[in-house]
Amino acid sequence: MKRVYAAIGILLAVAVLCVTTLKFQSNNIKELILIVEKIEDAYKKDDIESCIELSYEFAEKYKTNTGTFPFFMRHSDVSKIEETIVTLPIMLKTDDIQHFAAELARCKNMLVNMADLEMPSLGNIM
Amino acid sequence: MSIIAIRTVIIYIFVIAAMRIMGKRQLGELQPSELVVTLLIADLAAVPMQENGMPLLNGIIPIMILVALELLLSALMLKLPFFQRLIGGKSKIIVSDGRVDINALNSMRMTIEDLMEALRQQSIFDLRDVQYAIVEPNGKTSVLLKPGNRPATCKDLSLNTPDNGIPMIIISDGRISRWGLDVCRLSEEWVNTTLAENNVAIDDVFLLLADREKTYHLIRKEEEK
Repeated sequence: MKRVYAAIGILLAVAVLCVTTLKFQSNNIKELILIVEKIEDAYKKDDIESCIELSYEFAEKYKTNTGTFPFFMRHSDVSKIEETIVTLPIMLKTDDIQHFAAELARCKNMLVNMADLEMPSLGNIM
Repeated sequence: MSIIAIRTVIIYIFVIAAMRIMGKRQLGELQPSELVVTLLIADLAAVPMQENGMPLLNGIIPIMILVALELLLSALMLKLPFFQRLIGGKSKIIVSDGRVDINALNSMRMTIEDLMEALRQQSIFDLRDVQYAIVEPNGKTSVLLKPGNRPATCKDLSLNTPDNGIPMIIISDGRISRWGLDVCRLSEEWVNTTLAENNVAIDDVFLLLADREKTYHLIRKEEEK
C-alpha cells in the first residue's frame, strides 16, 4: 500500500509541477508581449527614443523572465528569441527602421508560439 | 563536458531511485508490463544525459510518471485477478501428463526445439521424464518430473533431518553482521566465545558462517590468501 501512496504522490507532484510551470510560463510571456506591444505603439508614433529605451528594457526583461525556462524547455527554443531581441535597439540606433519592424513582428510571433508550445492542446499532444 | 557528467550523475541517481521504488520484482523476473517500463526508462534516461540543450525534467518527468503508473498497475493487478490476466498474461501448460500439447505450443509461438531447450536448461534431457511443463507469464518454463524421475527426498527415504535454519554470514572480512546474528538467533557473546575457542581475533576472520543450531564454518584471512 505504501507504494500505491508513493505512486499517487508522484502523480500529484507531477500534475502540480505541470500546472505551475504552465502558469508561470504564460504569465511571463504575457508580460513580454505587453512590452512588445508598447514598442509597436511607440514605433507607430515615430517615437524612436522610446522605442530604443523599451527595446533595452525588453532585452533585460526577457533575460529575467525566461531565466528559469531552461528547466522545462529546450534551451534552443529560449535562446532563439534572445538572439533577435538583442539586435532590436542596435537596429534603431543605426537607423535600420524597416528591418526593426520586421524583427519586432518576428519576436512577437515567436513569443506567442513559445506560449503555445507547452499548452496541452490536442495539436501539441499529437 | 562537466555539464554532461553532472547530468549523468543526477539521472543515474534518479533511475536507481526509480528502480528501488518499483521494488525487487522489477530487478528479477520481468512481467510484460515491467519489461516495457524498464526499456522505456532506459531510453528516457539516455536522451537528456547526452543532450545538453534538453531540460533534465524532460527525462525525469516521464520516468516519474512511468514509475507511478507501474506501481498503480501492479496494485490493480494484485487486487483484480482479471487485470492480472489481461496485463500480465497467464501460465500455459505445454506438457500435460507427459504429453506435449501442440496447440498450446503453437499458441505460445514455441517450437518443439524451444521446449527442449527450456528443458535442457533445467538439466532435463529426455522429454519422457516430464509430467508437466508450464510456461509462466515471464517466459520461463516450470517443470514437474514424473514421480519415478524426481530426486528422492528425506521424506521418501523416511529420514529424520534436523532443521538448522539457513546458514548465515556472521562475520565477513572482520565485520559482524547484526542481521545474520538476528536471523540465527545468536548473540555477540557466542561469537566472542567461538572466536576465543578457535584462538582467532575478529579482524583475522575472513568468513564465519553459522546456523540456528550453532553449527559454524570459519575461514581465517590467511587461509583465504
